[in-house]
Amino acid sequence: MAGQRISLAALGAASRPRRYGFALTPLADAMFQLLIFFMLSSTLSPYSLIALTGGAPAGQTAITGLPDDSSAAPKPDQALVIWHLSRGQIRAGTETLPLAELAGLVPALLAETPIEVLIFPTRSATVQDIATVLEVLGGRGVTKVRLVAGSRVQGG
Amino acid sequence: MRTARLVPSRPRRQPDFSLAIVNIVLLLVFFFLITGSLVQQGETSVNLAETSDLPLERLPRPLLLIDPQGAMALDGVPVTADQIAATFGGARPEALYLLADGGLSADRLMALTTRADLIGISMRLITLHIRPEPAP
Repeated sequence: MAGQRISLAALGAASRPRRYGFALTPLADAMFQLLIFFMLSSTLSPYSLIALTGGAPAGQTAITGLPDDSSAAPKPDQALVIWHLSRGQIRAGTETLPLAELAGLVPALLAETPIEVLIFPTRSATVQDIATVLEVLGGRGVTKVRLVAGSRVQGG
Repeated sequence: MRTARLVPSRPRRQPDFSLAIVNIVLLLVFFFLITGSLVQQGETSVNLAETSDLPLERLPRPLLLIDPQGAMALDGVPVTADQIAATFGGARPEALYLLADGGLSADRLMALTTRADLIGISMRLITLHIRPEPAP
């Protein structure tokens, strides 16, 4: 009886197609190694770019429409606005405005278009102030902004 | 009934989740490859200027790190302002990306952008994109 059971079992095994296994564990290990590498070595911080000099290629933020050329004068039909940039504020003429409110005030300050804005950063101005002003102006469609370096204007 | 007694019951196969795990991990790898930017040590040490309306970009190269004291590192290598152009040598890049601390004096940034030996290299300031606060 036992011999008969063995022979039947052997017969059943022979009738099944043999399955070839594919070991996925090494593949999973390699994948995990790659995953850990990219998780540790990369950052997901979202960055933005502001062009400070020259024209930016397509797909990147271009605040300055033309390369810097200090000899280029504004065209007669182009309004020129001069701002003095201090820490957290700008001075436009006799008005001093906080940068936090600049986005709402730009339409009133820049009534005419096309327009060129000349910015004199004072000694107290920081990189954050420059980024804020350029972002607001770029968002309002002002394509020509000049930052005047070496300004000796006191402020802030 | 008789057949069931003669043929031994096969051990039940456990479901194999390996392929599913590999698929998920592969998707995670793709996610980090696409959304992440490789950074070097120290490049995340500065508090960048923040903007909220500009489009998102990846962290490009060459990358000039400028810390709050004005010390610079070009792609992880400490440099001075005078050495930047020499470091590029004959292969001057089209653009130089500035990873400047938000509290850095604007004068220092302007002094760098107006250097005579860096004329022809477009400079771009990298900012940190923050979500705009919802209007009340």
